[in-house]
Amino acid sequence: MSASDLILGLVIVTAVCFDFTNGFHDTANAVATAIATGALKPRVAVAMSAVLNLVGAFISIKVAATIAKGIVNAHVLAGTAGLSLVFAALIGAITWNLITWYLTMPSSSSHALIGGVIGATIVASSAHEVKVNGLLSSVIFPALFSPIICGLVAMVGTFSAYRLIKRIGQKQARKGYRYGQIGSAALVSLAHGTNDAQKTMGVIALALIAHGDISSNHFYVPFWVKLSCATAIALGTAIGGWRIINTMGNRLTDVESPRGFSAEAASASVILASSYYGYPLSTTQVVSGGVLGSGLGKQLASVHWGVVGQMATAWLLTIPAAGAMGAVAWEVSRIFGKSSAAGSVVIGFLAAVGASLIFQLAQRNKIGAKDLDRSHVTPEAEADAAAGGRPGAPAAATA
Amino acid sequence: MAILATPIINGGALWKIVLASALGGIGVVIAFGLLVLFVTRAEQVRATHGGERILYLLGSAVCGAFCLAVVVIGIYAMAKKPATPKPKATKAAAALVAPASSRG
Repeated sequence: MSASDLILGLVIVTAVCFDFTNGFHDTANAVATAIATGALKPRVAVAMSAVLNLVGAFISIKVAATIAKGIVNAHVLAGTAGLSLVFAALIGAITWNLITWYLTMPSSSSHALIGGVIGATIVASSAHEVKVNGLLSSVIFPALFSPIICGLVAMVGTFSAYRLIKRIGQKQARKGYRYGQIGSAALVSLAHGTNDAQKTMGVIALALIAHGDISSNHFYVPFWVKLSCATAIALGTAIGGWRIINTMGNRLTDVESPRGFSAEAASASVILASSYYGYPLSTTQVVSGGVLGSGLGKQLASVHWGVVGQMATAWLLTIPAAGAMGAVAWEVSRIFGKSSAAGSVVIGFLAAVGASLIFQLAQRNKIGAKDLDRSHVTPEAEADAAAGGRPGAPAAATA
Repeated sequence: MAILATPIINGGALWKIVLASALGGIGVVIAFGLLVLFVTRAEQVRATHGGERILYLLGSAVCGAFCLAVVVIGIYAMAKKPATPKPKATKAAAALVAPASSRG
């Protein structure tokens, strides 16, 4: 086995691990509001989301090779050195994902991966190898406009929903919107599986091209790559990222069933419309924008601006922080030689130790499915409490 | 300067995204709310006004069909989204696949 073969193996395993962290990090995108309103039991919600993420990963076979295509010049990713660079980028992205998970902050897994690629590229080659235009059009601008559009749509949707509720009656309306939330959560799960699993498939496919296993003249994604990525994102989702679900569902704003439905409907619409017109975006940022917009749609005061500020900081830091981690990973691996497998093995080992430490730390203030279960709160109780305090607010809400 | 010379955002596509998102996001919420409203009203007049009940049920069916249509269109769009360009045969092959001598 050559060094190149070994690094390729490490890249594939790490990419699948990244997809797994992407799954549990982003579960909240689809199911947080449905859990927060009690429309679904937490475990039922993540199981449904996992299955739909799996299905979603197979829906589109058009590979989104966005990560490498539009962000850095292709020759940077050539040969064994290119494989090492992709590996360092993945290590940076996974590390940032785990840190934000520990801090209970929703952040974009896609941006973490892009940040990792940029950071490793800058130290491996130079800043000139980063395509500024591609970065602006594929990452920065969609990151700016997508949460705003989603927030506005969710705000108007929520406002309309509450106007209708006055005619329908509180109890019936809330019961109805809870059913609606199951459908909207399912659609967001499907969209997430399609968008995010494709990105990792693209990374593995590029690694296979760099290794010479796939000809770029007849570019395709092998079935085993699709299956691995789909399974990893589904398993990650099934684990349930309870910490981030808590932040998204309970700490950003007080979610009620009409607001949750509006947020999810807006999120699904923006994700699908943007994907159709070719704008890659972060599902995390879109859904966060939707949840905020739904909070603003009823009353401004229901948005918890302190948490929003923390989340916005995490968004701003994602690309530079993951970039810095990717750069450090590359520098450490380069100590052992630019095309040596030893460096990749060492940073892989260090990353595994770091991940283990973060998991250990997270056990100190563990948040589980039981802490978030609000399925016992009836639509009547939700309606009664709408004017006052929160009905059966979970203990984890303020964690 | 290269940044300014190349269009970064396609304004036409952005406008279409806003319209599609508004139609889907707001339209579905209103249609679903109307569906619940019509079903509730149909239940209320079940015993007394047979004709009125049919109208409410028809209205709820239209709203339900609208919601379903949006979901189907969404899934269709997801499956048929524009393909990202494949790596160019000449450049990418040379750029991404390193010579065998440089590997290993």
